[in-house]
Amino acid sequence: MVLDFNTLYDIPRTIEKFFDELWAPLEISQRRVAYPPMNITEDENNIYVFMELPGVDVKDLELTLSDKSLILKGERKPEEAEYIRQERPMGSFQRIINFNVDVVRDKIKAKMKNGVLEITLPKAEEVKPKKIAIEA
Amino acid sequence: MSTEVVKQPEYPKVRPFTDIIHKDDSYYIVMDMPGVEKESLNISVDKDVLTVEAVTSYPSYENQNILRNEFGNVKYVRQFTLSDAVDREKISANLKNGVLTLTLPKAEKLQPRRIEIEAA
Repeated sequence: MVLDFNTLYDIPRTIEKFFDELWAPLEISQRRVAYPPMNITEDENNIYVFMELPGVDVKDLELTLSDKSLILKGERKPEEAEYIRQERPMGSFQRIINFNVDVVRDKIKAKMKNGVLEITLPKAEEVKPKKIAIEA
Repeated sequence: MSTEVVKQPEYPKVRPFTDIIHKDDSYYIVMDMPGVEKESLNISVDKDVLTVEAVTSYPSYENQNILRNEFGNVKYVRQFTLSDAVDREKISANLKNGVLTLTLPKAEKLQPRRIEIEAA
């Protein structure tokens, strides 16, 4: 039987790693990779897209639908003033959503409430799940 | 007959993104609070601590299939320590489009004054 003591020789390194992992999770709490934060859900009839866009006017947003993807573009401009603290994400942003089903272009609806943009994309009839009657 | 007490669900506490701006002789605290209705907003000042609390009211996705989830219901909490330069009585708040703007007007400086000495 052979015991491998190799792993025990680097004790300072082990202790350092332990402390790194201990502190690391606390920093990740509010990190976002893409702006704006987005939720996508669906049911039988529609695809729903929600995006957190506080302070953005509908007229400052550009929604483009192309074949099977939806592109949202916009910009948040900072104020002309002296900033003592600046945390709110600013600047231009873009998000692309690809869907795997066809949508009825003319019936797409978008509305903004409390800083949340909600887009409803109705699915094309052919794509909706349908029951098939079985003949006896 | 029993009285039901509805307990508010415990959402994760989050500090909202905040800008602090100095403009036209007033301070403005601008906070991103999407999904918040005016009714759930709670702003209070205790001595020199200003506390802002609010809860989002996003509907649950009960009958839907969730394909991507990057945000959810949260409780926004943030506190600020005010300096004497701020006039506490005149703080005002405005919630529009998911953005809360607190206006903190500067206190008028007291004029230097002479103190009369009474003869004993």
